[in-house]
Amino acid sequence: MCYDEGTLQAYLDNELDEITAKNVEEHLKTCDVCREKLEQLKSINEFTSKALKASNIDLNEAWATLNEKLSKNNNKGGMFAMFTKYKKAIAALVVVAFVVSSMLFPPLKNAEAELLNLLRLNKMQVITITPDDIRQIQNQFYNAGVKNISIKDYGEIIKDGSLEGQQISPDELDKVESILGYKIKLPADENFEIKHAYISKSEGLEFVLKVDKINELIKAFGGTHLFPKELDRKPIIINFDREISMNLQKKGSEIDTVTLNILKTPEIVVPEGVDVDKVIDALVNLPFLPENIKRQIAGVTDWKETLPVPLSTDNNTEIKEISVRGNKGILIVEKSGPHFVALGWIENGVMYNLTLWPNPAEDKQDFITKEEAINTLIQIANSMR
Amino acid sequence: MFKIEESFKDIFEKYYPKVLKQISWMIKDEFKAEDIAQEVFIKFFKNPPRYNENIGGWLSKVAINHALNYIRSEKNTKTRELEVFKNTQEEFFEDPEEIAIKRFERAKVKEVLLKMSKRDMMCLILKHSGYSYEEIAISLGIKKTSVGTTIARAQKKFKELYEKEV
Repeated sequence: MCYDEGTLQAYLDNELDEITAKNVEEHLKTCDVCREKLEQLKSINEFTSKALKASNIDLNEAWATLNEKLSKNNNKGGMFAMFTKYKKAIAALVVVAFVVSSMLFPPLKNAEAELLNLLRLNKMQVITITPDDIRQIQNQFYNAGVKNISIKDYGEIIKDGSLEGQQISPDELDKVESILGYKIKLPADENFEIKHAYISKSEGLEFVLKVDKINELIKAFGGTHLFPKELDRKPIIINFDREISMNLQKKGSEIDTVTLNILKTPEIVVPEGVDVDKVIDALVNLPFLPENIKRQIAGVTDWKETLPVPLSTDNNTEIKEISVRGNKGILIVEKSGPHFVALGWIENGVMYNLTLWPNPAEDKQDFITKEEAINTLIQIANSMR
Repeated sequence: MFKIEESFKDIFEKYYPKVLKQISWMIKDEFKAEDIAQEVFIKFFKNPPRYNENIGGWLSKVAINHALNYIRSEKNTKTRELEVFKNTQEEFFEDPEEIAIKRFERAKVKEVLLKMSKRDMMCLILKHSGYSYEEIAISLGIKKTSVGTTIARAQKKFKELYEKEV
C-alpha cells in the first residue's frame, strides 16, 4: 500500500506516531514511487524553508522588553490585580520606608520568637504614590550623600510559601471553600461564566529589621521618631492565606476579560513586647517621606486594622471610593481608553478584587466605554453571593 | 497569577520565536511585528487560556487575530514614518547590497504568500514558524490528520508561484 502526500509530509516533519513512522520507513525501502514522492516533497520543503527562513531573534532582549511592558502596564492602571500583587505592594511600602528593593531571600523557617501581637487587617486604605514622590525621596537621599543602600544593611524580607497551588475546574467550585479554609462569595452574574480558577499556595512575608541601622538612617535625615529597640532582629510576619483567582468570560464572547481575585485579609504578627503604636509612629514620621505620603499615612486612623494599599498613579488614573453592598470599595479607572478598571473591597474579612482588562487589539465590537467597563464590574460585584 | 507564573518564562522562550516569525510573515512592518508578538504574550499573561487548552494553538490563534487587526487598522493609519525609522535602524551596521537583496527577497516571498489562499498561506507560515501539527490544527481549525496534506499542497503551490514571479 502506498502512502499519500499528507502522510509522507508528516513523516518528513516528524509528526507521525511511532508505529506509522516505522511502517512508512519499511515501505519506503521497497517502493520507488513513494521514495520518489518523498524526495520531491523534501526538495520543496527545503525550498520553502529557505525562502521563509527567519532572521535571528534575540530572546533575552525580547524577554526584557516584555517584562518592561508588563510592569509599565501594571503601573498604568495604578496597579496590577490589586490583591495578587499587593503582597508585593506591602513589601513596596516597606521598601518606600527603607528605600530598599524588593529583594527576596530564600525561604527560611519562621524564627521561633514568641509571637503574641496579632493584627488582622480588615480595612484598607489607598496610599497613592506619584512619580514625583519617588523623585523627592531620591533627591533627599542624594542630597544627604546616601547614594547606595543595600537592603542587607537594614534587614531582610523573607518569603515563605507552603502548599502548592492547584487548578480548579469550573464545576468543582463547590469544593473551593474547603480547600481555601474560609468562606467566600462567588459571582452569580448571568452574563458571565467562570472559566477557570486557580488556588495559589499560602504565603508568609517575614521582615527582619536591623533597627539600630534604620534608626541611624532616620537620625541622619534629622528624624526623631525612632523604631522601638525591641523590634531589632525579630521577625514581623505577614501571613497570607491561600488565594483564589478566576477568569470570568462574558457569555457568547471568546475573550476572558475579567479576573477575580479573592483572598482572606492578611494577618500581621508582631514580636512580643513590641509596641505597635511606636512602630507606626516611626513609620509615619520617617523624615524622607514626601509630605504627600506622610499626610496620607497620618490620615489612617486605625493602623492595627488597616491595610495600606500603595498605588502608584499618574495623571491618567482616577481613584474613587464606592460602596459595594455597604462595604467601602475602591475603584481605579484609567481615564483615557482602552480603559483598565479595577474594583476592590473587603467583605466579612475577605478581600475581593475584580479587574477588567482592556483588549486594545481585539475587534472594535468588543470595545467598551469607560462607563460600561465600570458598570460591568459593579454588576458582577453586586451579583456575588 | 495563575499557573502561568512559574513557567511563564519557559513558555515565552519556547513560543516567542514562533509567534514572532508567524506575525512577521503576516504583516509588512517587522518592527511592528515585535510589538504585536509582545502584545500576544501580554494577553497570554493577563488572560491565559483555559487550563486544558493547547498553549501553542492558543498563542498562534491570538497572534493571527492580532496581526489581522493590525492589518485592518493599518489601512487607516499612516505607518510610513515608522517604516523609514525602522529601515535606518536596521541598516546601520549592514552591507547595503545585502540588505537590498534581503529585502527584495522578503518582499517577494510576502507577495507570493498573499497570492495563496488564506488557509494555505497560514499553514505555510505556521509550519515554518515552528509550530507542531497539533498546534497548526487548533489554530486553523482543521483536523490534525489533514495538516500534512495541506502543507504538502501549499508548499508545492508556493514553489510554483514563486518561480513564476521573477
